[in-house]
Parts: sequence; C-alpha cells; structure tokens
Amino acid sequence: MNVIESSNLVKSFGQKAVLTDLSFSIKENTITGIIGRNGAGKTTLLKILAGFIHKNSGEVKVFGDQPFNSLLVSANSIYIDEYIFYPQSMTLEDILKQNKRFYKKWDDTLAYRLFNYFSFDPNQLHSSLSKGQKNTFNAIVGLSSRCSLTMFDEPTTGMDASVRKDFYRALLKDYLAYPRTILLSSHHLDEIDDLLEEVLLIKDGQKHLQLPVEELKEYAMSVQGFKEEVEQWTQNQQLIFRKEVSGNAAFAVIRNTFTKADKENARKLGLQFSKVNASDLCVYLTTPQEGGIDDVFK
Amino acid sequence: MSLSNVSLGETIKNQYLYKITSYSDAVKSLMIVQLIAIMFTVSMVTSIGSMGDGLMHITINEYTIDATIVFMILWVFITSILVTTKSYQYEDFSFVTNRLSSQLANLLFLLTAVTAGVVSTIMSSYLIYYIVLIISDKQLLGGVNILASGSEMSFTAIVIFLYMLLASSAGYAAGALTQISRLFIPLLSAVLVMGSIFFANSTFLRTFYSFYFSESSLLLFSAKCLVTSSILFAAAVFIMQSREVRS
Amino acid sequence: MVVIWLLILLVLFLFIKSRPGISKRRISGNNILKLFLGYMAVLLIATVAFYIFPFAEVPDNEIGEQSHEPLSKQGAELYNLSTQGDFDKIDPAFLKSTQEISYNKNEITIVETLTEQSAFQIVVEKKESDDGMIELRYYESPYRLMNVNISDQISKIKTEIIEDNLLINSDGRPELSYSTISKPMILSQFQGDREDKMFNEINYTEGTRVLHVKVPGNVEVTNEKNEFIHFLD
Repeated sequence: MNVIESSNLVKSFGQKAVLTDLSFSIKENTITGIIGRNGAGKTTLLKILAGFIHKNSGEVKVFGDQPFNSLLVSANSIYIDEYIFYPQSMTLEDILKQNKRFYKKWDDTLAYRLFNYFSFDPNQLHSSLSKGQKNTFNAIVGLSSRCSLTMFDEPTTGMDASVRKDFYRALLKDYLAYPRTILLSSHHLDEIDDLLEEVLLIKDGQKHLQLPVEELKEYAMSVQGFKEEVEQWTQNQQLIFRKEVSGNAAFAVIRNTFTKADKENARKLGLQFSKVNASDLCVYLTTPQEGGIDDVFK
Repeated sequence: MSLSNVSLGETIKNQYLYKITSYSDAVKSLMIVQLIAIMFTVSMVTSIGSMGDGLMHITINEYTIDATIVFMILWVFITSILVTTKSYQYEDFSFVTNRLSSQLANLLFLLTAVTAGVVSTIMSSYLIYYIVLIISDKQLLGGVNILASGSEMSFTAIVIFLYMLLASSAGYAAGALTQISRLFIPLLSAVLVMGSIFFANSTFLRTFYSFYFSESSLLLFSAKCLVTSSILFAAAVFIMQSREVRS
Repeated sequence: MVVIWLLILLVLFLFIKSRPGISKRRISGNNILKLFLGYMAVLLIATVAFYIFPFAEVPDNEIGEQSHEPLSKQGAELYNLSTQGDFDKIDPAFLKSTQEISYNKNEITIVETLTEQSAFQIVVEKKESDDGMIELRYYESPYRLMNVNISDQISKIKTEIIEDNLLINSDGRPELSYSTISKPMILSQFQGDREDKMFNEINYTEGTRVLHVKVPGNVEVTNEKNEFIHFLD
C-alpha cells in the first residue's frame, strides 16, 4: 500500500518554479531518503506533504487524502526541521507534554529516555537552545511521536558527529520496533545509506530516480583512463557524468548496463573500473553535464 | 497501518488547551496593562461635586474603572491582531491541526481572553476601592452607585464584554487582512487616521458611531455587537482558510 | 483627541508585541499563568472582602429607593409637624437632645445665624405655667449622602444662655470629604429616557433641624421679626 502518491506535482513561488513535474509514490513502512541538491525542491515537497503549503497543480495524496487542511494527515504525520516553531515561553518539558496530548501514538517513555540521554534540562526554553541542540530535541519529538509518516528535513544540521550517529541509531532501532514510513532528507547520504531502504532523487523539481539503496549501489560504475579512450568507450554507454581529471586523463561514470564484452573491450583500452558509492553517485547524478565547478575556473 | 483518527472537536480542544498555556505574552500584558490602569485610576482624583451649608461642607471625589476598561479594549484589540501573525500560526502547525481548528481555537482563546478581561476589570474596582481606602484619608462611600449593586455590576460586565468582543473581532479581522498583504497595514492605519481627522463630522461616520455608541437598549446593542463580531470573525476565518504556513 | 488615542494604541501595541530577547531568565509560560492566577486571587480577595467586611459606610436601605428631592419626606414632615405644634407625632428617633435650663428673667432674645444658612427651624412655644424653666428639644432628620447616613459627622447644635440671650450656634463647620466608585462612562449610552439627569448623580438628602424652645408663660421672646423663628400660639 502506498502512503504517498504524487503525480505531476507542480509548485512555484511567484516566478520561481520549484517542483516542475514530480510523480512518485512511497510505500508503507519504508525509510526513504529524499536526496537532491540545494534548491531541488526537497523541503517544498515535504511541506506540501505536511499540508503546510498548496500545490499549484497535479495530484498529491497522503494516506489517500489531500494533505492541505487534512486533519487525518496532520494527526498522522510530523514534519521536523530546525525551524520548527514553538512558543518562546514554553519549556522543553512543556513542549513534550503538549506533543503527548496531540499525538495519539506518542511514546512518553522513549521521549524522556532520549531527553535524559542527551542531557536536556526540562526547564530550559526552546528558544535558548543552540542549533545542534534544537535539532536534537526536535528529532526526539519526531521519533517519539511515532507518526505513521515521519518526515525529517536535514535533521542532523549542527549536531556533533557522535550525536548524529546516536540519532541514526535511535531512528533505526525505533523504526525496527515500530515500523512506519519515514522520509529523510539529508546532505549526508554517506552516513545514512545503510539506514535507508530507498532513495528518491530529485533534480530540478522532478523525480530523477527512485531506487532501493541496494540497487543504487550497483547502479553505476566509474571508468578512468586516457581521455580519448574513455570518450571512445563511453560513446555506446549510458553516460552519467564525465570530467577531465588532469592533462589527458578522464573520469566517467556510466550506468552499470554494459555487457561482459564491453568490459573486456575497456580492459583492452586500459580503462580502470571502480565502484561508485551511493553518495557520490547522487552527486554525479545531480551535477549538470556541462558547467561543473571545474568549468568555473577554466 | 493503523492511522490515528482525530475529530475536529478534539483537535480544537487540544489546540485551545495549548494556546491557553502558551500564549503567556497575552496574559502578561493583561496584568501589566491592568496594573498601569489601576495606578492611573487611583492617582487621578476627580471631584464631582461639593455642597454645604452653614453646618458643614462636603466634597465628593470619584474613581471609576474607565481607564481599565479603555486599556482592556485596546489590549484585546492588539492581542487579537497578534494571534493572527505568522509566528503564532506557525506554532499551531507544529502540532496537530488544520486551518479551521487553528482558527476556531483562536476564537475560543480570544473569547477566554475577553472573559478574563471582563472579570478582572470588574473585580479591579474592588481593588481600587481598597487602594483608595488605604492611600487616601478621605472617607469612602462604599456600596454607592456601582460596587454593592450586583445587578449594576453584571450590567456593566455585559457591556464591557460586548465592547471587548467588538474590539477583538475588529483586531482579528484586521490581522487576517494583513496576512493577505502587508499593504493593509499602512492602508488600514491611513483609513483610521484620515477618517477620524478629516471625516470626523461626516454623516457616514456619525451614523456609524451612533449605530453602536448611541444605542440605548442593551438588547439591541448586544444584537448589533454579536452580529458585527460574528461577521468579522467569520470573514477572518474564511480569509485564513487557504493561507500557507511556513512557505 | 483621536490622535492621542491612536498614539496610546501605538505605544501599547509596541509594548505588547515586543517579545523580550532570548535569554534564559525569561519567565516561562507556566509561571506567568501562576502569576496571573495570583493576581486574580488578589482581585477575588478584594471582592469577597468588600462584601464580608463593610469598612465603608453601608447604605442605609430603610428608605429603599432614594428620593431625588433635596429635602426628604421625613424632613418635610418634621418641618410641618413642628410648625403645627404636633410634637407628639414626630418620630421619637428624631429627637436628638433635650435640655432644661432654669430662667427667671422676663425677657429673652434668641441670638443665632444658622437659620439663614441651613435648613434649621426654631419653634418657640409658651408654656402655660410659669415654672421658671426653659426647655430645649432638638430634633433632626437624617442627612444622607449617596444613601449613607452621615448625620453623625456633621456639626451639632450648641445652645447656651448668657444673661438674657439664648445663643444658638453650631460646634464648628466640618469639611467633609468623601470618595466614591462611580459608574463607568461606558454605561452612559444606556441611560435612555433618563437623559435629562446627570449620569453619575450625587444623591444628597439634606436633613431638617428643628429646635423646639419652650419658654415659661411669663417670658417674652423679643425677636419676633425673624422669619425662621416660628411662634406657636
């Protein structure tokens, strides 16, 4: 069963088109990473799913409901980011208490265990937390709410490396104990690729790719060699990314669809194959073919 | 997958309880504004008459809760504008809500604010009485005019309630308009200032003024206030119904 | 005027809107709520105390709805009865003092200035017998301010015989000062048909004072021209 279904979703802010034609669906009880470059539309998508903002056209359904103004969606989903608004007068404990009242599946024990583990002061005000602390606290709320759809938008910004690890571990453990649909948008795909089950790659407001992480790891290979040989060999391949390394050497990333004969051929041309990890692949996939950072300095 | 089902009523209730405990700025300003009004009142002595003959001379000073009432009307007007502002709205959406439940909870909150304002204003007259008793050497005529008369007090309470409700709905509607466009802030202020300076004697303004402020029947006045504030509140809720949050 | 109000509105707005800067010392919402409940409790105590301990003058409700006439019915009655000589019918509560002074001259002059300045009547009556005693009876109907009986606080009539003069005076002219909690202006629009009346009316009922002077039959009272001295036949 699909928790989220979206087809031809379009959203623009004034003149600026953010989501141009986004169609995808998310299955129940999966952890999906929403990956894309800054401004690709990740946050916009999540806010539409949370019912915060309108879509311009297309269809979007969460739990079979239009999210905007849907109580069902609001009650069963939570959107966590660093900018989440809490009244300045509320202490952290107050916020936990309020959440307990609002979210029916709220796990108070988990909330307080995490709260104490990360050594928060119950009487502290949310507004006086540092960025990293704020995100840690918000993540506690996100986890403890146990919402059927839990969305984390860049949840680890500002966190220490150790806190980040702890958070991902907590997320995984709680997810295994209480399966639910989790969307995670993050820049650090390399940290979470063993946590994610699926990746939804957004580029220019469209779905570029949606694959299980296992497949993503096998999705592409990189070849490296002399520029001419690389160019010659990749002509018949599905090229993802190419750049000149130095002088006459070149580096290319290609779909992992070539035949054994192709590979043999490449060996003869002196090309070296290596695996591409999911994180790097996502960078390559979303980098414009022309005009990479190197071109700036040409 | 089991989804939590929530009703609109339950959500409104939760939102209301949350607002009651978290909108402490409103509560704080109520207290401060009221204390200022009380100090204002007890320090301003107005003589309303003197009389006497060959045997004695009497002067009478009066204290009224006028200042408190005016301050409370302004307070609820401003508070109503403030709850329509972005940060208050965004806070609602950090919890379970949709726009309707958030708006209706706002109205309940404002109704509570008005009630708290009325009750504290009425009761502040007794506090004023005791303060005057302590600080002035004059004899107090208790039980005169308003204090001891329960019916007079409840009549006053109803009238204050209606005025505060009117101010609240006007503030809420004005706040909702400024959420559509910031341009409404200078626009509304200009209309208010220009209107009251240049058209103070216009027939329209006079008719408008006397429609509310010259109505001598409490029943008709209540009807006018309730209908007006309902229309203003409904318009505001309608306006806010499609507003995006955190965009 | 409007501009002043708008300025007040603006200042209040900025004041209420200003959320204090982020600091750990901010009072949390719960504490403000507790503070507010404390404030309401103070107000409630003042309200309850007002009804339990009447520190102030309590309205004298014996006459019910106050009359708006400057002279009360009781005062008018007192005046009428005394000038007609029907002292028996006067409410004994109005009799404030009696005095008997022995007097053995043939003439007496009443010296006073109070009758011109206040509702004070002197009634002179000749007794049938010549017992050599001047009897003075002082009657007073209540003075009420806002329905509160303030008779105790005003000056008393002092009488004294020096040679062949009966001096009538007051023991001072007190300056009385009262405070009252008035109706708020917001109610003035509901006056309706009572518009001719003052909104916050000072309700004052002046009392009537009568000094009943009984002189022995053989004593002549010499100042007959005073219109405030009434002679009973």
